[in-house]
Amino acid sequence: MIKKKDNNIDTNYISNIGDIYGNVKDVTLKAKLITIRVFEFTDTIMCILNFYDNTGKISSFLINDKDADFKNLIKSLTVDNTYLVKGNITDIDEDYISDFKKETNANLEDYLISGKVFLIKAIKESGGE
Amino acid sequence: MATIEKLKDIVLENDSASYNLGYKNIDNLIGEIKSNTIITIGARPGMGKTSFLNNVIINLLNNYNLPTLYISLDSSKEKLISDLASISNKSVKELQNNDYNLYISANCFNISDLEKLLEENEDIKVLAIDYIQLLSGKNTFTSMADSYSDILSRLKVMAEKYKLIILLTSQLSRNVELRMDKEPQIKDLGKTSALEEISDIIMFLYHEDYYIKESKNKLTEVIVAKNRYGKTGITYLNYKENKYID
Repeated sequence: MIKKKDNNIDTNYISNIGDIYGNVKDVTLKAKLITIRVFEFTDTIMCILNFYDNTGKISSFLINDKDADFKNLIKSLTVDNTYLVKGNITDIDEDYISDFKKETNANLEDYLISGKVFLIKAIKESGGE
Repeated sequence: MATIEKLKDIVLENDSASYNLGYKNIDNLIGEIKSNTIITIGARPGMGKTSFLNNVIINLLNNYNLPTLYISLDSSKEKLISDLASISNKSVKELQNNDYNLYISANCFNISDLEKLLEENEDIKVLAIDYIQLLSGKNTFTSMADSYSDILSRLKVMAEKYKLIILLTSQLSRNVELRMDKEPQIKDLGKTSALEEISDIIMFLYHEDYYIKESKNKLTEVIVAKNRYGKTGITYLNYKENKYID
């Protein structure tokens, strides 16, 4: 399951968004949340969170089963706050975007600010340190 | 919603594949264990490597209950179940009634048999072997070293293919006894470097009071000599009545 805000995130491997090349695993970013878009499905909630730091912008997916803990986590996310987010970076291909549109009528391209996507495994507020 | 499920699988699979061994001191040192990891626990006879393995297995079962296959080549199944029961505070009956996701085999002596066993039980996530030198390979090799290297490379393939955490106990060379400093070192793992090469993490157990009778140090020294993913170093555990505790 998605780790909650109080989980420790290893801060030894913080990258700048602008430094990320290719698909990489277990990256920790410290970045400001600029937009949140929430999609609710039958058993699942998916959020597209867009972040930026002074080197670039990146879109991310936060996805989990629809349970109370996860709903609370989403509620607590606040635009303009700074977060530590840990996860994997991957490219999102056009086939996936078109399949997603067929199934949900939502066009991911309207919400994504970059072709690279951060798959979030853990998130916690950084307090803007 | 196939696309959502696909995305969720990618994220949650990555997230769930991290585990701790259940000892704060060791976990702080080695970090989280991911699937497709081989951990070797080496010690001279009498240092408690089987007991340590049993404790780690019970910790993993208590915390994650991952399907676990335990290949016991040194103890009978009955003895092993009795030992595991005493560590877990469960009765032998409870253990045998599958309270845990644990499968014990005491008659899988060959790497080919092990491959078949895993093929038939693809849900297995943790494989424990006590101890690796007792697992036999093909007779077609001209040297024992080649046969041993073949066994280990096939284990590595299995770890990757089935995304296993593999826990191996290993005997150490008698050379340890000939040195002034009896603390195990990587070179004590054997004549070939094959076990060192396939292991992501190598831990040694050492009791100072085993060699120095007047020593007041009754703790078990856990030496993390190799760690592909994090730190190496030394930490300590207490041992009491079959149980290792922080």
